[in-house]
Amino acid sequence: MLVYIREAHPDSILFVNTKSGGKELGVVGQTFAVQDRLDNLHQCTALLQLTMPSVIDSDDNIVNRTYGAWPDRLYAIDTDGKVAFKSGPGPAGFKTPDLAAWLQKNVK
Amino acid sequence: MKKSAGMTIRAIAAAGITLAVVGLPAVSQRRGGGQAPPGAEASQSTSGSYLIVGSPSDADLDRLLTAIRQVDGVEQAEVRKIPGNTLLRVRAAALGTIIIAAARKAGFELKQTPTRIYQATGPVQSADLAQLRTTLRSLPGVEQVEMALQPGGLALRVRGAISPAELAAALKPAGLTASPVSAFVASGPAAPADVAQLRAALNQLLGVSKIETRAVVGGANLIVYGDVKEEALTKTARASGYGLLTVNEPAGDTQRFTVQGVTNSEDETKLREALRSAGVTGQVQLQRNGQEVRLGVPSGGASGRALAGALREAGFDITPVDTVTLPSIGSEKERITPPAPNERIIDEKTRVGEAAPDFSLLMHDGRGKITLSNSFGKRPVVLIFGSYT
Repeated sequence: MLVYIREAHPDSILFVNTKSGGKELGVVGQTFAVQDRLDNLHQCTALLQLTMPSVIDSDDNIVNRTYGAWPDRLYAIDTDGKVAFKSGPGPAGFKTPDLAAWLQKNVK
Repeated sequence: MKKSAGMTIRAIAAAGITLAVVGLPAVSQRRGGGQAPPGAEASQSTSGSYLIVGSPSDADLDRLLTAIRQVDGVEQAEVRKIPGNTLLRVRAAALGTIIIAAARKAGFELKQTPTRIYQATGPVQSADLAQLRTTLRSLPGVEQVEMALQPGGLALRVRGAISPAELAAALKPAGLTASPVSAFVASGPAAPADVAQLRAALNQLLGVSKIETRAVVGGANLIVYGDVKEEALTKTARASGYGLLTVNEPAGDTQRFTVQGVTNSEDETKLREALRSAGVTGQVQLQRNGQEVRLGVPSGGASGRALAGALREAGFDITPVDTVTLPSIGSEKERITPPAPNERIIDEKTRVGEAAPDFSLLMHDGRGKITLSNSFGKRPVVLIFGSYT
């Protein structure tokens, strides 16, 4: 599940999708409100054609704070609801091979 | 595009990971958050300042302070009036939206103090920098100053509630003429004739001394030299058929130093222990480049002076390294700004082997919610936290 949290590099200039299907340069600002977060999440999932479930953190950023998630981070929650894998904080700790190894070992 | 959440997600796919998909979304009215395990306490804190929008009375400010001091993790909050602005200074386990949201609930709007890049021309040598830095840091409203020698003068990055005119006045006695340099992306036609017309129109504005442009896909990169209101630039650009987008240059989240006294791994261990004793948390960067060792520590904790004192006692001398550069017109089509300051969460509330704090969050369609605990049972759940940038 993708959890959209606070922007890591707010005000970056990136290509974003237009309604007409094209691309244009746009500022990706920091998000404070629900709609802004939904907009940025839409851009992200559309650009990358993601199909996994995706959610936005609430405007009080409680999940980001609870999980120490900013700027990016990986977790695996086991079937018993306990934290089974926790990467270091990104970007240095965002190591997908470590998560892959955990999944290969623990998911049959 | 450089590194982004999207790219990290792509990396997962490339790594061949099958993502465990949670079950169908359950609609829940409960807000996310879950329970923090007992004993999870703030270990370190950071400081930051905000501009208070409007002209609040003393009674209003007392009410604001009361609201901020009630925020979990806030150790200290104070207001300070400077010419033209009122500042809120906060020391807390975490800053950013937590503080802004608390202020908003109390009826106040806060803005991050701006960071501006300046070009200062005139006679200046490296020996002058320490005095200049001290002078600028003593100005009301100035929070952070970085400077670096450039051909013909200086590049400065100044964070704080200070106007370009005030900064220029402070540098004038040193024989320096300072002027802001701002970077924008103009979204619109990229044809040379259109970009030239935009440039000519902006050049007419009062305060603009020079404009550089470079056409890119979807418009043009702009560098504007001079003290000119952003509103005026935006309005003029719009009249020429362009949307103007500011490229902010926030202060980096790392303080950088050169270190003397680190010759082997034992020294490095000793240095890291000294940093921990000085209250430095987070990722410490140590890089050796020939005889020189460079140190990077997260901003927001101990000041450079406090760090220098603590490390000197441990046998190390450090010298600040400023990395500020003037905006470049660049050739890239996209621009990634430095990481947002004060966002890193120091006080973590999750531990491997303990229950994952539950949450119930809005789905991408803006309608239903997904509750984490509803997904437990058959397969593990992978959580990928990230953002667009």
